[in-house]
Amino acid sequence: MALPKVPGARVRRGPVRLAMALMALGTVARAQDTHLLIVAGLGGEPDYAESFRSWSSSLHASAEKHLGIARANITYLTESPEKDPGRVDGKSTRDEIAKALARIATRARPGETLAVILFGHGSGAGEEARFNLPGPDASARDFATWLVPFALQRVVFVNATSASGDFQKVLAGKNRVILTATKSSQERNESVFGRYFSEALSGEGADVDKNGQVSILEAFEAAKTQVAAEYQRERRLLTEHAVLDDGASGAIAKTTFLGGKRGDTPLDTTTPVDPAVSELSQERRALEDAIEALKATKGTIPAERYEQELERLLLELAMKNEEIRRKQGGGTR
Amino acid sequence: MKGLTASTLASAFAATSALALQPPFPSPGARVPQVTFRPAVKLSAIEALRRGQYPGALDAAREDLLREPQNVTALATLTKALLETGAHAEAEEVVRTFLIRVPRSADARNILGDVLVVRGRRADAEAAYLKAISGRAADTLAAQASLGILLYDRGLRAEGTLRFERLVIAYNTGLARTASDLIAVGRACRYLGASNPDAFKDALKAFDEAAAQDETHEARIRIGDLFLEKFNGTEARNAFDIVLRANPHHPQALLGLARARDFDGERGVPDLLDAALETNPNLTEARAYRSGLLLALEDFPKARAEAEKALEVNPSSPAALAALAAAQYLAGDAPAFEETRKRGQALFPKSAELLVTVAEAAVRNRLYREAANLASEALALEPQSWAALSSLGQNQLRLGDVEGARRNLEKSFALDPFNVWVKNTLDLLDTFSNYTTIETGPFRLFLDKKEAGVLAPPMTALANEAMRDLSARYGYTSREPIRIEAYPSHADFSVRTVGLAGLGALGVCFGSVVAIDSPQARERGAFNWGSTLWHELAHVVTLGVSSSRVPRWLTEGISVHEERRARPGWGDDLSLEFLLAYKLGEMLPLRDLNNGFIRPKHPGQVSLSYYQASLVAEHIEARHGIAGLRNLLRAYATGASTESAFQTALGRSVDQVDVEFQAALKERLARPAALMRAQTPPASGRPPQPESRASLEARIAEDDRDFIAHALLGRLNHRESRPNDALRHLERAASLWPESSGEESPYFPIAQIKQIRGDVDGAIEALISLVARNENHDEARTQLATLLEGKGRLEEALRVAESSVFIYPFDPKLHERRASLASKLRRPGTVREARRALIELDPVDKAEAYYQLALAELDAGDRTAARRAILRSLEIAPRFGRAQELLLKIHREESKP
Repeated sequence: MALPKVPGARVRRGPVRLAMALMALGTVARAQDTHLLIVAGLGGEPDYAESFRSWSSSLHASAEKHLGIARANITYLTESPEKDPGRVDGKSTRDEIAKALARIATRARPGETLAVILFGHGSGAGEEARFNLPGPDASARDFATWLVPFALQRVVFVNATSASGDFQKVLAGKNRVILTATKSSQERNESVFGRYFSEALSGEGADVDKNGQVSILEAFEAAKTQVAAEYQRERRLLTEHAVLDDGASGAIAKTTFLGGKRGDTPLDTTTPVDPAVSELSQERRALEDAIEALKATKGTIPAERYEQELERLLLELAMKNEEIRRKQGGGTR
Repeated sequence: MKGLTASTLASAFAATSALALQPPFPSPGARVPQVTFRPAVKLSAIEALRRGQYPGALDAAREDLLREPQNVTALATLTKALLETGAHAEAEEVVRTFLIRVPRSADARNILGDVLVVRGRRADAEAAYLKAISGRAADTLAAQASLGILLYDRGLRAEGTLRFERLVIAYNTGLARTASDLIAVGRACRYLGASNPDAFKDALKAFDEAAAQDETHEARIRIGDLFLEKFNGTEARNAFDIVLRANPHHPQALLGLARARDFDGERGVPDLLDAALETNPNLTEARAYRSGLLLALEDFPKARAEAEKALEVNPSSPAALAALAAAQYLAGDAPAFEETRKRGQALFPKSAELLVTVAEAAVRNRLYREAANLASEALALEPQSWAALSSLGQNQLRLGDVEGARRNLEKSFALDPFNVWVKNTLDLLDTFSNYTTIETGPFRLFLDKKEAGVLAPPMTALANEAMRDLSARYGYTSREPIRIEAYPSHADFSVRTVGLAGLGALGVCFGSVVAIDSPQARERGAFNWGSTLWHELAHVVTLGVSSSRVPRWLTEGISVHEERRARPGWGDDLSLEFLLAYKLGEMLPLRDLNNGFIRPKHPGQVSLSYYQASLVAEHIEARHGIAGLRNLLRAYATGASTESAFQTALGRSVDQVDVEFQAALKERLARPAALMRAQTPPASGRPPQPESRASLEARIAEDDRDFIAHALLGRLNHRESRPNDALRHLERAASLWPESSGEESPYFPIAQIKQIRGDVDGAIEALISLVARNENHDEARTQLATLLEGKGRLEEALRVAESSVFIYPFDPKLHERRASLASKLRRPGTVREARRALIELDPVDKAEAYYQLALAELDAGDRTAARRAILRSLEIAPRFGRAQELLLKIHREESKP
């Protein structure tokens, strides 16, 4: 797995070596296993309130429609529930968040995924870094407490608020992917990361490896790129630097998905029934491994040789896929 | 890299001068007070002189000398007053008379030396100073400094330096006590600074100490001059301001302030020079400076006359000789130039000053190669001249010799680390590793690596088109490659152009080197890089045809005229500002049009002059065909003056052409000008306020043909969500003056209202009217392309999208639209171009982008490029199904027998 190539993207490198990390990850997290909590915090000004509502609402819509997360597994809290009565489950107060997480904790099974996505404003620093809410704010320490019951689940925690960077240290832990819109509590200007993260999860443009799903890492990288582009477009100083930390240099985030229904080349995680197809699938996997191994040599072997070898392997892979599809009755498209 | 402004150097250049910061005097544009010499009370001669009450000072000093005929202080005061008011001959007579009375007065010899220097008799002055020194004058240190300078200047550098070093010893051993002594030490240190930059700081320290006890203003003037010499306009101005608060008529302080203003690019410089010369009509430095200003205006005869006047006063003034040489050089009078040059060299054999001055004047007149040659010659005379090295380096850069420039600028900076131009330029050169040079036909594109992929293709196409068109019209082909540089930071472009940040221009042409702001250097929609490039390439041609002798107004006028010919909406169009200025009679006569560019009376006059000049070029072409313009440029190439060039090329005098032009202009502007009424002028002293609804309605009631009132009221209604009223007034405005394209243009709000109402055709019509006249309105183009596409008018939609490339080509959505439209119109070349641009914009989904490019390459018939692209796609996403299929398709097609 390569580190993010997005300029300025910052993925903390963990001590775990890549191969070991991939082995330790076990199975890929699946859509039907995801529990999603979306919270739109205090808007303050009408424009901000509308932005947070719009980002969170569109994420809610696509969670069900595109990501395939069951409605029952989605909890959506906003500042003004009355504006979106069909969707919103309650007001985004500190108590409601605590209750929602406690409720999910009773339902989530080991190996499933909890995703918490926060939109709004942030303030404070360190353990007291806060997510601004109607009524009392929720601090990073609060979330650390509320997440304790999720030791057996994979946790994806996305704090897309301003000054959110300090949530990283407080919430970091095993099997957790923590994303913040800023690198520290000092980046206090309003953040647009949430908008682009929501869009990345909802659309197809972020599916960079074309496996039919947008991983958390892909969504992060896409959002990061779009944020930088917006600041460049607006000719403003880039005052938000999003951070992703999973303790494994992005390897966990790369294999974490909040959905899996979509895509013309879905992840091949099932074992084929037909032994012939099974054999072809194994050959395909070997070819994919060979391609990855070749890519790792890029720049160290003559370019011409690299290109020839790459083309050979990619052609073989394409033909292998074609054969698999044929045997599965799909024919070629 | 950010450019330093001149004042930033204050910290580098020992800001030890504790000068009080007070409001500058006089304010820019303010009239300089007339000289009135009316002392309220009788003051001592020295005090009256200090206050600039010259008649009083002269009377008092004469009385003092009469009373005490052997009093050397009285002599010094009288002489100073006479010299400050330009009575040089009388000053000499007074001193000589004194010496008849007191022949052994060493102090009087020193004073005589000063008078003789001002009168240009440097050898006699040397003798006088020697006598002063041997006679142990009280001002021996001053005499030592003056003698050292004379020796140094005439090439006896070792002898001069020895005397300067003695002055440093005198200071260090406590012998320099008086203001005069300390000034002498400062002058010596300033000269020592030529080989040791730290000595400049010592000079400033000495002048500062002198200023604390100086009864005249000499120390402050020298502080100001030193700061100016070291590129610190702010501190220089402070020093001159202090003097002028005490003596508003001090000629040197007025001259200093003029130079400081000029340094900062402010107005009011000629007025200050006039004031300086009113006090002292024989101030040679002021005349030489005025000569330089006239040269910048390309008025060579007047510049020469002014320099000659200065030399009548002081035949060995280095500044006046340099000014004369520059005027002669630029007028193409080679024999006279050579004579002056020899004259200067005889007086100052090891000095680069004269040739550097001529080189810089050549730069201002766009003769960059000549300037580089002159700087090289200057360097041969004085190899350690930082000014010559700097001039050579800057001109090498203008000519595209980056490495040569770097070498010489580094040498210059080592000798003079205070030079802000050199510092900024070296900083800029350090960023050149971020750029790439693309050789394409006759062009060398020098582009930021991050921008090159997107910018190079349309830039190459446009540059080729422009040079094809312009070469055919003007009969000129550049013999050398044309270098086009684009800077993504405006500050860098500005440093590249003038060495300092803050230049307002968008592009510059140095002959065969063109530099422009890249589209990312300014706010999106702030300018059109395509028209800017076309404009600069037109300069390449007009400078080339005229051997760089074309006057500024004409080369600018032709460039704008050519922009307008290139694309609809490009180049300046008739603006509201121009119409109002025309109505107010602010058009400049043709023979003064250069002033509008070089010494504008107000900032807006520059853009008015561009447009006026472009109309003149258009007028000449309309009357005489393109041959008229071509012949005019060729006439300039022979060194002809404007008068003679007009006669030769057009068979008419400048004034005759101007009369014909004004008549044509009157006819052309009669209708729109009648519709313009300026805003009600604000009450005196109040800033202009937006006109109220009531006032606008009253204007319309009075005159329903008041374009401005309708346009403003329409916009007001639009802002206040009153679409019916808005549309009524906006459409009325559009019908009154359909050419309106600026801020006041009614078309964009009309289009907005019509879109909301669902009147797509109406919106399209309004937007077409706008983009046909406005080259920068990106939003209008985006909306228009969308509406046209929606109506199935794909051809037009694509044309509009293509025009947006010249505003901001870094928008992925623009290229997506181009690709989509071109694909529908079956234009595989354009699809491919757009897809390539998208790849360069570093899309999130690169695998998809490469896949789309592969499809486009295949459609365009380039299977090899398609295979390359599809491999890049699959390298990123090996499982990408559609890409795999395309790879197989390409492979199978290639395998077919």
